[in-house]
Amino acid sequence: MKIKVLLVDDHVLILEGLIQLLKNEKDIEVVNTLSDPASLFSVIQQTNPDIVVIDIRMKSFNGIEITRNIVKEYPHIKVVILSGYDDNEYVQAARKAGASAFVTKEKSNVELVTAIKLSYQGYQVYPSDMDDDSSKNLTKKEREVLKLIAEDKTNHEISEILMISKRTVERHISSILSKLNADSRVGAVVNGHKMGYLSFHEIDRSFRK
Amino acid sequence: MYKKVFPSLLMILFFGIIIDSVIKISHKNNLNNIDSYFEYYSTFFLGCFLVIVAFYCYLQKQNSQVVHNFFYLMYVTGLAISLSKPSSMELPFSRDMEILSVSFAPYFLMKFFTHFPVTAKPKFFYKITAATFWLALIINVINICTFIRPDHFYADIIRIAAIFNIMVALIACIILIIFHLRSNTLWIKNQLYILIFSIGVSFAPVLFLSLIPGEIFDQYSVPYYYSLHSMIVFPITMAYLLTKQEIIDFTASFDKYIFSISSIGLILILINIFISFLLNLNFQQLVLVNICVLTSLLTYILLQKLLEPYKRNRWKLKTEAIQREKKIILQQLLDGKYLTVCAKHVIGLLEKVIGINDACIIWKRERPIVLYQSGIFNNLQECDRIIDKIIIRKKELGEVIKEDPYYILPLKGRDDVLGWVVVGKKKNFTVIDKEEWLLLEKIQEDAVELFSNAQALHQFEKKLRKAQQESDMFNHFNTILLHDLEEEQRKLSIFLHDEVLQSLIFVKNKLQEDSKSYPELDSCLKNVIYNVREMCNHLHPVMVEDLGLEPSLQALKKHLQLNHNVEIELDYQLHLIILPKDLSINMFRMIKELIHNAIKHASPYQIKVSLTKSEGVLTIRVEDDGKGFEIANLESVIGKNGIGLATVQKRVNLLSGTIDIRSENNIGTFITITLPFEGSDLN
Repeated sequence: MKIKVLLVDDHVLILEGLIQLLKNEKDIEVVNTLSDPASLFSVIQQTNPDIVVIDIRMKSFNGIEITRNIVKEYPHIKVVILSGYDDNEYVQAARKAGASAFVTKEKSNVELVTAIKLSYQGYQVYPSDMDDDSSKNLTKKEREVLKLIAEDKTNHEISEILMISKRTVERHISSILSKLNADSRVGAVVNGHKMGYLSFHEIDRSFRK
Repeated sequence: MYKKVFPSLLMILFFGIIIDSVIKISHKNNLNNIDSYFEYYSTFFLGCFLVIVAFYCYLQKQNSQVVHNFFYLMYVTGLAISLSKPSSMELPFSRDMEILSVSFAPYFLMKFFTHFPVTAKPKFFYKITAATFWLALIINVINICTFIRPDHFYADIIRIAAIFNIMVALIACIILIIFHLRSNTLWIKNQLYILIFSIGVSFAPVLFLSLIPGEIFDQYSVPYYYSLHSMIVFPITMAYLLTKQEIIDFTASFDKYIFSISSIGLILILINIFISFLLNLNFQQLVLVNICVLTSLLTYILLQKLLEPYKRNRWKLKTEAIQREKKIILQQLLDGKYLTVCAKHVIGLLEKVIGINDACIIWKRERPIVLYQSGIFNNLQECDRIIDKIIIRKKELGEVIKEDPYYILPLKGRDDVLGWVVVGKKKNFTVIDKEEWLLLEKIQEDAVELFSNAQALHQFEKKLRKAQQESDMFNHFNTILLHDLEEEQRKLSIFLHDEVLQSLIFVKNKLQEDSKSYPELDSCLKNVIYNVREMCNHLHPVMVEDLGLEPSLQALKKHLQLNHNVEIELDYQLHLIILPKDLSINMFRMIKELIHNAIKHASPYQIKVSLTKSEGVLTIRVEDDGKGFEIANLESVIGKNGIGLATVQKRVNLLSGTIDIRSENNIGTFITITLPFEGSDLN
């Protein structure tokens, strides 16, 4: 038996991409696609899907709100949220609204398929869970970044020094923060010093309060 | 009111007695020369004067105990003096009335001194006061007895008792004055000095001209009915003392009067020298002449003084009227009316102050125009005739022109003639006199001032209104601009997100499918996606719309902590409030701006942000522990920090809120924004 999927996204290009992607999957059947969520509930009535894949933000509709309504009306339907944003706040909002999975759009297509399948089986699929493969030890690159943070360098400066993109710098810092159990650069430096990643003289005066 | 009744009745009684006595005396003596006036009637004059002055005092200060007693003292004294002549002529009842008043005079003298100059008195004084009262009563009882049995013995007793009574009272008063003179209070001393001075001046002539030469040395003396007149000084000074109650600076007064006194003295000396050359007068006649001259001089001065306020008053009233009109006109100018109003008032003023009926004011133009007219000038032909005259006589326009039957007065401004006042006949057809010309000139000057002020004011007002309009327009424009900016940013953000980003994502995903051999391309696209997303967030806080204010602030906090070496503490207490989307976006923008500002300019370690709600007000507080700045140059800080703080200020203004910025060098900056909010509460 195939998983019946309903796709909702007001970006036609993305929608077509998704149809293409899912057509290749043998155990997934796209029962309908919607670029305007106004008629969503009547379509759900007609097609009775197992999974609704919905964009978090459409021109005049709020994906989170719609998710909440679907979960309330049809508790058996699982909702997978597609998001152009990857902020943690969106992830949490989706989780609160009762969505089963949260996938950012530029993540590899494989991930979306996995998320659909896992949530059909009753799992909750969220970004942090997916990224949870990291060890608690900082990588070599991350140590370099931490050292530069301790030298009070800005992200822009770090990206220039290490010749990596700003996005990569941010990803590294994000990873450092989670590994060092901190929620700010300051906290990361303090914890990094405690854990022996940084010696005292490496820390800029501005941190030594 | 009834306080006045009894003294008024006493006054009527007094004048009844006086008139009765005068009529009786006039039956016996004809008033044929000056000597007979002094001999028979001067005492009446003196008595009346005393009583009238006392009554005047009483009317001035009815509530004063001292004045009260002064009135009675003067009343009995005046009565005694007035009746001295009728009594000596043995007119019926006058002797009894004289005894009555003389016997009670000491009592009233004591009563007067009970409260003068202060109320505190030694005990013996009250006893003496009582004694004088009883003695006076006894005297009168004895006097009544003489009705039944006329006897010279009783008459002698009465005279001795009366003199004794007076002596006792006088001695008591002298002791009292000496007693009071030891007092340190300047005010009391001043009063006593005036009292002693007036007593001295009043009684010295009687004493030194009549009594001492006549009675003691048995030489020629001035009859007492001449010398007695100096007594009028006493009630006058006392009246002054009692009504004014002030300290006289003798040296200052002396300086003031020295010239008049010395000139009067000089006149007297000159007249005496003159008379001694011309006439051969005896001493009595000489004194009489001197008194006459002195009296006439004093009368002259007195009249001058009396008339002066009236003279001044007339001038004052007119200038006051001008000032009042000026004020009214200026007020009306402020109310938006202009030259015509001025002209109307100036003409009104001419009529009020000088009584000019026909007048018009002509304003200088290419062809002069009439601003306002009255009387004969209501006839437009007459106005035109005058205007033609003005045009013809162009050269003399700066001068006053007589154009029968009118006068054309120019209104000369600082540089040029502004216009003309044409003045016609007065209401009463009299010629404009010198004083009125002065007034006219004054009105002319004031009118010029008025018209130029009016012009200036009018221009100011015009400018003000224009500036106000511009400012309003700017404000309105700003509001629209800010709103427009927000909308534009939103559109751009959504365009980037919905169009560009989605396309990029699509391309990237396609790439992934088709060729796995382009990881570089993949990474590049990922970066572009990241940057576009950042830009979207920067342009418009989509998250505030999607998820609300708090998650957006949390995201902001996380983002900033990830990118800058700063700890942000967020205290969000608006969970139970539904915030409108616009307000949320504005609040988010302001907070973001303030935090960014702090990071950029103050390099703080920590920033605390709190959002709270109290009665109808939302409060946003952003505090940092950074460098801070001198609050004195807040304006320059707002300017220097670029558009940041200025836009926050603007947003606060648009939301009708307030912003309070406190800062101290090396301690930090504390910014509090309050916004009015009457929104729904989930509670």
